[in-house]
This record gives sequence, C-alpha cells and structure tokens, in this order.
Amino acid sequence: MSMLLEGTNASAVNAAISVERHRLGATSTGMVLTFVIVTDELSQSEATRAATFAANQHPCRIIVVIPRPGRGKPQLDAEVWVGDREGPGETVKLRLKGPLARQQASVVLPLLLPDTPVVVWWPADAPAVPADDQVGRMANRRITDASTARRPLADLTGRTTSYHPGDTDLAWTRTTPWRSVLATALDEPHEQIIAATVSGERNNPSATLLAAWLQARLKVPAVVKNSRGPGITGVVLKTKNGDIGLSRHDGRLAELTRTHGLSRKAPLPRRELRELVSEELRRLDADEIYAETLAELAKGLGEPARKSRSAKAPVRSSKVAATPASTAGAKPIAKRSPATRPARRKVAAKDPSASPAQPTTATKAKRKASK
Amino acid sequence: MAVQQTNPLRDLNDRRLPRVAGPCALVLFGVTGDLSRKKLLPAIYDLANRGLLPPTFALVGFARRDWADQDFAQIAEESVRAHCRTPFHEDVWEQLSSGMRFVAGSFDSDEAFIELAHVLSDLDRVRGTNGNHAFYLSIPPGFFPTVIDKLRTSGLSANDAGSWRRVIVEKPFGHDLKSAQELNKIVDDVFPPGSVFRIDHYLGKETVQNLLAVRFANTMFEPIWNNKYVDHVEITMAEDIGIGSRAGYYDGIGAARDVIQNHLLQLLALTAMEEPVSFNAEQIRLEKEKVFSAIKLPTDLSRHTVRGQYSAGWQGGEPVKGFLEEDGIPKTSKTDTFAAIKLEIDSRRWAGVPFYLRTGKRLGRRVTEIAVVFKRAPHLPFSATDTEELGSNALVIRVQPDEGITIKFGSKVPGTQMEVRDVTMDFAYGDSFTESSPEAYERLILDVLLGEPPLFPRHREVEMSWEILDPILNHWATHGRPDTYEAGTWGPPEADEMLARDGREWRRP
Ligand SMILES: NC(=O)c1ccc[n+]([C@@H]2O[C@H](COP(=O)([O-])OP(=O)(O)OC[C@H]3O[C@@H](n4cnc5c(N)ncnc54)[C@H](OP(=O)(O)O)[C@@H]3O)[C@@H](O)[C@H]2O)c1
Repeated sequence: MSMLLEGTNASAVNAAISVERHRLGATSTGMVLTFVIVTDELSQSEATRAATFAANQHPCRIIVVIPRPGRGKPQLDAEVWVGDREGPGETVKLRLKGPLARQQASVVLPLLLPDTPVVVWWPADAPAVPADDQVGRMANRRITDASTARRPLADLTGRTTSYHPGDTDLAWTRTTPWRSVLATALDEPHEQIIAATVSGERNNPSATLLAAWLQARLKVPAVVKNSRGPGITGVVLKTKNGDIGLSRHDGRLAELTRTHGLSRKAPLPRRELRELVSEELRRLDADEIYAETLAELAKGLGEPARKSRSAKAPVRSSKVAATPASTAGAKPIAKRSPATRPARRKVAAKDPSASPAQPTTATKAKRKASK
Repeated sequence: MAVQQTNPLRDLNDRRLPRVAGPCALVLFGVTGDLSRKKLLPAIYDLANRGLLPPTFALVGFARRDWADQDFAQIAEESVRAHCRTPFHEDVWEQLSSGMRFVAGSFDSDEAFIELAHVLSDLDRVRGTNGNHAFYLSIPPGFFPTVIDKLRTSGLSANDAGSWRRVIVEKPFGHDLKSAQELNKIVDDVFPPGSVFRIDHYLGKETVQNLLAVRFANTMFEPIWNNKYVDHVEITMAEDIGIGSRAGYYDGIGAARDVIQNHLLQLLALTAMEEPVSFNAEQIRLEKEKVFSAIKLPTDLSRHTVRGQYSAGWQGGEPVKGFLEEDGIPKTSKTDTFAAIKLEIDSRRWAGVPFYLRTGKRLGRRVTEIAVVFKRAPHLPFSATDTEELGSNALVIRVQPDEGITIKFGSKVPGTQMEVRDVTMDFAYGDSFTESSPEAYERLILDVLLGEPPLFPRHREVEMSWEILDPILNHWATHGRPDTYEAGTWGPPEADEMLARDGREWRRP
C-alpha cells in the first residue's frame, strides 16, 4: 500500500515513512544503505523495480527523484511505500516540480538514512561530472549508464575525464561476465598475446570498455569491431601461434575456441538491469580497475600501451586511424560518427539489459521538447 | 612454446571478477546416494550456472550401476532439476553434461579403478582438465579405507608437478578417537594434509563466516567477549524431524557423535577462539586447536551431561512415532537422539564461563544458534519491581533458519512508570535464502576446487574433538539408558535440571 502526499516537504515524508513503519509493526529493519535514483518519468518505473530487486539482497531505503522542471510554482509530491511485498525496505518517489526540479539536494538530504552509505544512480541523462552533481556529492557511489546516453561513446569519453573514485557505469558492469570468462580462459597455459579485438553492436560502450580493459591488462593494442549484436558478440586474442576466441551470438551461451585446441561452451547470458544494479551494490569502494580502464581509453584504443603514456587527450579519430595493420579489418571505435547512430532500439526492446531505460527516439524528442 | 605464467587479466583489486575454479575433474563416489542427488549434483549445477566452474570442468560418477555416460547424465539431470536453486538452463546443462562420464563398478574392483584412471586421463586430453582431480567420497564411511587404498594402488592419488589431487570426505569422521585416528592415518598415508578436505557444511554457512567478521572487524563486541561480562554460552542445533529413513546410519551413532563432535564443537571453537594473526586457514586452525586443547570436562558427568530419546508425541500439530518405534530401530536401542553437555574452557578469557551444547531430533522447531548470554548488571538503580521482567542481555548468532544476528537488551516500557523489560533487535543482511547467495555445499565445493580451505577442519581438530567427546560417550555407555522426552518438546526434563543445578535455564531458541 502506498501513501500519497501532494504539495509536501521532506519532513512530512519522513513522518509518513515512520507512520507506515509503525503501522506494520516494523521498526527500523537493519537497512544498510540509501539508494537514490535520479531519473525521469520514462525510466522511473523500470529503475525502481530493479532497485527493489537489489534491495532484497541489500536492504535499503530507495529514494526516486523525478525532476519535473517547468514554469509553475515549486511543488513536491511524494509517494511512500514501506515493507512492500516486493521488498523489505522503503521506497519514496518524489516528484520535484517547477523550480524545485533544480534543488534536488534540498529534498534528498533530509531523507538519507543516518550513517550508512549513499548510492546514487542516474538510469539516463547522468550529469557530466557525477561527483560534482548536487546529489552526486552526497554519495559514496555514483552509477551512470553510458548505454542510455544519446551518444554512448561520446558519453564514455566524457567519463574518462569526469572520473572520481566511487564512480561506476553500468556499461562497465555489463562487461563483468565477459571479463570473468576471458580471465578463466587465460588461467590455462597459452601463448603470448599480441593483439585483441572486441566485436560488438555499433555504439556499444561495453565493447569499448572491454577493449580498453584488455589493452590495459595485456599491454597489447586492442580495437573494437562492429557486429550485429546483440551487445558484445566476441573477443579474439591473437597470439603468435593462432587465436583464442570467445564468441556469443545469441546473447546467452558463449563458445571459447583456440586455433590449436578444444572448443568449449560457457554460459554468458546478458543480464537484466536488476542484476547489474545488484552487482553494483555489492561493493561500495572505489573501482580501481574501472579507473584504470578509463585511463587506458583516454590514451586511445589500438595503441600499444607502453608508448603513448604522455597522451592525455581522449580518443581522437586521427589517432585511432593509425591503427597497426595487425588489426586490419577492425574499425577503430572513435571513427564512427555518433550522429549515424543506428536504430538499436529494435534489439533493446527484446533484451531488457541492452539499454534499460532508453526511450525511443520519438519519445525522447518529445521529452526534450517538454523540458 | 612460450607459455605465459601469470594471468594478466587477474588482479586482486578486481573485486568484481568471481573466483572461478581452474580446470579440473571431480570424481563423485556414491553418486546414487541421497547426499549426491539432493545436494552435490544440484550444487555443482548451480556453480556452473553462476559461471564459477571453468568450461573445462568434468564430472565423473562412480557407482555399482550398469550405466552408460548418457544414463548418468540423464539421472543427474533429474536430480538437478528437482533440487537446483538457480533456474535450469539447457545451455548450461549441455555444457556441463558434455563433460560428464560414468564409471561402473564396486569400490573393491581393480578393473573399475583402472577404468577410472583411463577416463580421467582421457578427460585431461579431450576436456583439458590438466591432471587436476578431486575425489569426493560421498559413501558410507566403512568404505573409506577401500576406496582410498584403491586410489593409491591404481596410481590415481599421485599427481605430476603442476597438477593437484584432492580428496573430500564427509562426516562422520570416525565414531571415536581410535577410529578417527585410523581413518586419518589411512587418508594421510595417501594424501598430504593440505589435500584432504573434511566437509562440515555448517562452516560453509554465511552466518558462521560472519561470526568471525562480527567478532574481529568490530570494536564493540570483543571487549565484552570474556568471563568478565559473559555469563555463559549456549550452542543449539535442534531438528524437528525424526531419523526418517536413516535408521541404519543413525542407530548406534546418535546425536552427540552426529552433531556435537563436529558441528557444535566447531561452532564453539569459532565463538571462543582468540583473534587469528591473519584470516588464513593455518592461523584459524591454530586458534581453534588452542580452544580444543583448553576444554575441560565436568568432573561429574552424570550431573552435567544429559542424553535423551524421543517418545511418541505431537510435533507441530502432527502425531509422530517415538524413536524406538521407528522402522529399523531395535526396541532396546540406547542411541541418543538428544544430547546436552556442559564444557568449560581453561583460559584467562573463559575460565568460569560454561558452554552448554545441545542437539536433538524431534525438538520444538528447527533452529541452530549460538547465544552468548551476558551477566546481569552488578547493580540496578531501579526498584526490584521495575526490573522484574528484565532478563540477561544476549547476543545471538542465528545460523538457521533466518540467518542473522539478534541482540537482546532491556528497555523502558513507554509510560509514566519506570518499567524495564527485554526487547530484541534483529539484523539480517538481506535475503540470505534467495538464489542470490550460494548454498553451503556450493561454497564448500568451490573452496575445494580453488584449494582455499579457510574453514575445513583438519586431522588434528577431529582427533581433539573426539578426545573431548569420548569420556562422555564412555560414561553414557556404562551408565543406564537415555532419558525420554516427548517428541515436539525441548528435550528431557533432565536437561532443564542440568542447567538448574548451575542456577541457569535454557533460552527458548
Ligand atoms: N545424506 C545426508 O544428508 C548426509 C549429511 C551429512 C553427511 N553425509 C555423509 O555423506 C556420505 C553419503 O551419504 P548418503 O546419505 O548419500 O549415503 P547413501 O544414500 O547411503 O549413499 C551411499 C552411496 O554409496 C554407495 N554404496 C554403498 N555401498 C556400496 C558398495 N558396497 N559398493 C558400491 N557402492 C556402494 C551407494 O550406492 P548404491 O546406490 O549402489 O547403494 C550410494 O551411492 C556418508 O558418509 C554420510 O555419512 C550424508
């Protein structure tokens, strides 16, 4: 059951939570964090569901902040759920209307649980510098999602300079199963790797991050090649004597192949948003490997890592164009113009993990107009 | 061939990457048994489904059945479908079952072990298990010596440099000190101590591992974790079920051997031990052994130990048989289905603090917990009537069900009068029972395959715990019969008297 408060304020919301709690006979139920979601009407319901699922493993207070900028008077509307059948914690949905839309911190701050960590997640339209954002500043962990940006790769490039410890991106989270299977593959004896290629759907930021990670760890040039998806479809690690390949074309099962060896299958399912979010809540310390991967990305893909230490500039097409011939056929990622974004919505509609909260181009445009 | 040694994709700081077992084959002896079907096969599938087994993983079933590999895969699939905790995926199963083999034979058949050796070397070649083999003995303990000996004579226990052999044994680890020593000798003659994994599934439980975190990662508990503040400790493992169809196993073994020797003494050791120098297997084992060596038995065992047998009664609303009426139990059986003992630890920290251990079948409800009960405040600045309802403070580690921690303390009853009564504060970290957290067997199997044995009891601990229990078992064997208790209650009245003698009473768990 939910409680609706219109034209309210944070202290009334706090009071409502506590009334609801007492009505259920539940006192504070050992909550371990506050989970703030800053989102829009289009993404809020899916994001809240994912967060509620994650709250089963990490009991938390979920605060959904929905800014509704516009001309009228500032107004706060709130909906409060406590001890819902779907999860143990508390959920507060806040609609910030008029000028209040820009004063998110003033509403969120009084609702944070005392003493425990704060996680903020922007399912879409994350701020350019999450750590400088008014809500981001209050958080120990800030989750963005480049895949929902209008220009995912440009968004990712932005993250290379905006990174602060505590930042993370769901595009990075999506690479975890790939990274795990690849690491497992290299647990076995293998020849020295000399180059890496990641294939993925056009504009897939996870493919780019995976390539950057391989380049950083293996210290060999890594590039991204476009494929028809869904998501990341394969990785080839080139050695002096044949390839180690990992491919997944159905979004579920991957095949691990070696030029001179056995081929095997490994489960590698695309994960749903709720699983990604759960993974994010598991650890709240700074993700050093993500930072390292972003730094590598800033140096440019396809470059032998040892060289361009001094290059601080983010990926530039001219630089990537100079990719060594060893990866011929692979298209350097940054060469693509983000403007030529294909209709990736088709795939996304089938697979919820593809781009969780991404509105269709049409609705997006409408939304922009209403801003 | 320029073979790379370290794996550049692995980094200790990369906390997202799960620990995945390396290439290996697991041989399951007793694959038709209850434990294999209900726990082990499903746990192996769940591990695979979570991506924690390498694609090279192979599973070999061994049993006296005339099965082909496919028959085995078929039977295994049925078990997995019936008992797995994560969703069943054909793809995952296909990958897992493509590495499944079956070897038919009895435990004393040389041919069967030759065949097994053949199958394993074949798997090393075609599946890429790299000569790493684990042997899981899910078989009646009477067959341990036979199987271990056959593993030796067939050369299966010997490994080349760069590969490993491990053996996994299930409880019971003997039925007294002597048999445990014999068993240990048999195993240790063939496998080095670091390759022997004794399964105590309680030690794979989240809460038990959390006990160490609670004690040693905080500052607020450790200062009061001693005889200055603790009055006594109660460790309970209660089952509501009877012996079911396991009469053959249970009769002659009983509650104390089945549960106290391993689970409860291990929980006691983790509760009582000093802080290990570091959180690794060796250091934790050292601390546990110190606790065992400091344990003191009561001088009068008749007064401070109790055993019982359940009689017919009502259990949670259903009529149930008494132990002596169960199928396969002789009317004259003296087997204990309930056991309660008092132990003390001779150390500066614990001198004078009794540890009460109890376990039983057909008790009030299914619960396992460790309750640290504190002394009462030395002085209460309230009138006696104000604090009439105030009990002792307690910290309870709930091992199952509802894994978590409860703290009990006094609080004022709201109102104008001063009245203090007990309240509890519960903490449970999320939903430990969803598929999201691995089951104890999953964790233990993975730990074996990874070769990370932080909590597996070693040889010496097993013998030390028998040294503690043997005098009690001998005393019981020579002194009368077990007391009886009605099924569905908290044990015989003698157990209450045992605590009453010390001026205490059991908490209702
Ligand atoms: N079940 C549990 O919950 C549980 C809990 C803790 C520990 N344990 C321990 O785990 C082990 C296995 O338990 P369990 O309950 O699975 O036992 P079980 O159901 O009795 O199964 C024993 C297995 O051993 C095989 N076996 C017995 N005698 C044999 C012989 N002469 N030759 C070849 N195979 C023989 C059986 O094969 P057949 O089918 O051909 O008879 C069966 O596969 C035991 O050490 C037990 O103490 C079990």
